[in-house]
Amino acid sequence: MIEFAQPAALWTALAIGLPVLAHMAYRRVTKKFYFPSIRFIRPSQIPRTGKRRPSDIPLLLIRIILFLITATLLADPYWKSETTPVTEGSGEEVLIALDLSPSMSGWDGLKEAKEKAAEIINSNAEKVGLLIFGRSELEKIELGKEELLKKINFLSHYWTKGNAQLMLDQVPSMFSKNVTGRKLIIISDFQKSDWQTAYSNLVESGISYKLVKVGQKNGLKGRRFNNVSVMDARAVPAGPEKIRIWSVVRNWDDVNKTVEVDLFAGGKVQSIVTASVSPLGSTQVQFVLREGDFAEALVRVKSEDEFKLDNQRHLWLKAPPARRFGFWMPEQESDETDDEKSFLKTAVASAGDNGWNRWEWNQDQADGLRLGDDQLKLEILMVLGVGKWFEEEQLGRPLKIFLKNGGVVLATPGEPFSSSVSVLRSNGLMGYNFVRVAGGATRSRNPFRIGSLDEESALAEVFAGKSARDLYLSAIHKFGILKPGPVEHDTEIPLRDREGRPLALVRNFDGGGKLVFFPFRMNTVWTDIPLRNSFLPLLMELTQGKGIESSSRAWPVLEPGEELPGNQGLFTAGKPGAYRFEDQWVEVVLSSAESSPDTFSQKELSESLGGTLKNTEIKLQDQIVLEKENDPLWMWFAIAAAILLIIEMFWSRPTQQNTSSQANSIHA
Amino acid sequence: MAASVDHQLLDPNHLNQIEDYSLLARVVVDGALPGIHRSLRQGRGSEFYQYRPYTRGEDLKLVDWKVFAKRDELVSKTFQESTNFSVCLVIDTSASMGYQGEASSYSKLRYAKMLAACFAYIAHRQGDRLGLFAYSDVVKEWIRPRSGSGQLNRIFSALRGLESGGSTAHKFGWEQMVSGLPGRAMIIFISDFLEAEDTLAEQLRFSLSSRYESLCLQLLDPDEIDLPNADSLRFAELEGDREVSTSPPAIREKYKIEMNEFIEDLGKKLSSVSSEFETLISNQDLGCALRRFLGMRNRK
Repeated sequence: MIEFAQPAALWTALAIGLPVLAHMAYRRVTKKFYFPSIRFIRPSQIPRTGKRRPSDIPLLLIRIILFLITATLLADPYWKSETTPVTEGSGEEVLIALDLSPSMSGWDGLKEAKEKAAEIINSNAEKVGLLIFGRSELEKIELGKEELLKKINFLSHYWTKGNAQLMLDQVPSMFSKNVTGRKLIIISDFQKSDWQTAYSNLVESGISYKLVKVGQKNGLKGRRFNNVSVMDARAVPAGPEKIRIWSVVRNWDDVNKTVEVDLFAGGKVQSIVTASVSPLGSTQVQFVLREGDFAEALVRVKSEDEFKLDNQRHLWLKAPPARRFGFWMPEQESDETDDEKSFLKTAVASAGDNGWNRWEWNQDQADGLRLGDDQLKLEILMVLGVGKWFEEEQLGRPLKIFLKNGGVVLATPGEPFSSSVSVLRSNGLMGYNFVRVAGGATRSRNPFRIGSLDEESALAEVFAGKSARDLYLSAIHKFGILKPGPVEHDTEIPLRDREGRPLALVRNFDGGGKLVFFPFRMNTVWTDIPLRNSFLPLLMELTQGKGIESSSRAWPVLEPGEELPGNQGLFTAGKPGAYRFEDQWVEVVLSSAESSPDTFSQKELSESLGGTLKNTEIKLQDQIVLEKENDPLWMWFAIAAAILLIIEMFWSRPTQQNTSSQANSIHA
Repeated sequence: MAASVDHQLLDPNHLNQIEDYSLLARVVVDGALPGIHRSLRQGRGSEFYQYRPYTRGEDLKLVDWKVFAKRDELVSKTFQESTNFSVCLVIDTSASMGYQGEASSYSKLRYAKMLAACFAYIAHRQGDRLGLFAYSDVVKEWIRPRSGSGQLNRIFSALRGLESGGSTAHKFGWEQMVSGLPGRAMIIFISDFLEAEDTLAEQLRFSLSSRYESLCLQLLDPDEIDLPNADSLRFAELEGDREVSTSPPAIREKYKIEMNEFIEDLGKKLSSVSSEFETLISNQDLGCALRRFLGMRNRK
């Protein structure tokens, strides 16, 4: 049988009165009358005379049917098949969604929630289920009432940051099919950080819902009181054999708070600091320890506040590993190579900061790599005086593997210059050809100078003002002139002399590796760059690779639920603390969002859940089911309306009958 | 002129039943108007007219000796004496002349053709040379004035073939027709003269000459005088594309005034060039037009 999705639109059928009135009230003035001359005929108002009975009954009928079909079309008709299964309910289902996010442990949220849940379970005769949310997986528990009550008593909070959206997305599928009522009772503190992006039109899905707010503890207008948290804690070197631990303490209240913060390490409290924290503000607290005494520490706030999970923070006191660099050189070292090595070693070793971001010369790692061990951690490899020795030792392959693994290689030419270039080219490392060595004959001539940097290059950003002048005053006594060869590589020329000839070639590799080739040696025979202030920034800027950028100079800090990939497995953060994972020292900290005392009111949230609260709202759900099972008829009605409209237009067009009969009589 | 006129024989509704214009003309002229026209001039013309008994004193040349030999009776032959006067019938056959109102059983053109047939018959009987010029925006018929019974048949035959159509172009072929008129002539111009008041007088200026005379018979349908009876109509021009929707009762009075002014204006302009003018309504009998024609002809 035919049913309508928008039955209210059927009221438009009353418009059939319009054609009836039109047919009764007006007479058509369409008779065309041929006349010898209309010279003295003036247009005038056509009299419209009413009639007791409508004229042109067939046309009127067509118009009435057209109006009726259009009204039906607007009501969106569909054919309800007799075979459509009628949704027969098997009672009402009540699902209790219990928030177990960490914030629920504060302000007596969880305790209150358990009480409320027990109350609901006891007062509902229908089928009751429990849904626990607050992390990336949902847990649905369907037990008898007694078991459910027991289960609730043993529930404790999760550590993962609350995820309300996950619950809202999956709730519709959690209900059984063919129930007459689906009711969801959400018990949560509705913390803003968890719920601000949550949206689901539960009403449209046919689910009635009820929001039970817990854990407010005399909060006003969605704001709870009495919480102080440790937001951050880090350890940094502080002079010889000392480390400084600084932490940030935040006061979430709008009144000033004075708290004691202590550092717990080695099984006892090492230091206590009293800190005054301004309303809704933060303050730094610092502790100093001897380096090497302790591996880990715990910063704690001694405060009787409502949310205790954020009152402490674990941290490692161990220094993170230094960045490593090493050299490949010919076996027979020359003075030039020695000079070059000492310049580069000094420069790179001093490239770090006073903290734990430091560089370490590790020749063992470089030698291991030379022997083919590609598992070693080396960030910069400097190949000095590339020449025949490189070819003889077949170092091209390990070098390529190093580059593919994201390593950075700095290479300088050896003797003769041409052999360096041909070795690099034959190993597929560079596509440039050697032309000649400029300035090789004499040192008495004017040195070569570095040309102006490309304004958009990364070097131009580093060298500006005085540092740029220092770079441009650098003298290069001799260098190898190179020109592009037939094989094209992705090679950049960040540095040129004033005639545009390359002074540094940089080739980027797929794995993030980088090969930097200077066509001169980094010693005073070739150039005075190593003696200049701009040497270190030039070197570090050119050798800055993706691998170096990504390598953090602190231990990884994760929030519960986050994952850290390792060489052999995956570390999933759980309870806050300090953990050892493979060669990493991992800190797991509670998400700072959980400390927030702000919550949503039920009214604010109901807008995100499909409107006002309704107890029984399953019609829409049924409609969705019916739409899937029934055939829409609007297209047939649209076709019928179009056909009738065409017939009406043909029927009501001005007829030629009168005029043609007149014309016939004229010519008779 | 005869005093008694059988008006039924002049009624166009009756005459419309007669298809043959020769018969129609004889019915009108010989039946309804016996003696109103001047009798045939008998004399030494070339066209044989009739026999009559010989009377003493007559020229023996007139005696038909062959009849005498057969019947032993003296009979004289009489001949129709031709005049040197030409009558040229000019008929407008434009589409507007094809109009036939709901009250009429014939169109204006049919009325014009009946009238022309009668004129032709009378003129022939009086020995005048007879011509016909019919036009719309093209010349449909141009029979140069000649005398003789064959010419009359040609005229009747041409009248039968005339049909309305095209727009009115009074100037078209006019010069050709006027230049073809021999000696003295009389132009009988039958048209509705719609939209012609500005140019017609100029065309008929030759009527000022003593050699020529013109009679303009304006032929209108009763609808054109009074407008059709209907509450509302969409009027469309027969000779154009213009249309006007109006209510005839609402504009009837004003229309009549403007139409009468137009007719009067036309009459004045034609009298200024010595042209006779008469307005005929197509439901009138033919008598009025015939008397007007004979009056003019007999003055010559």
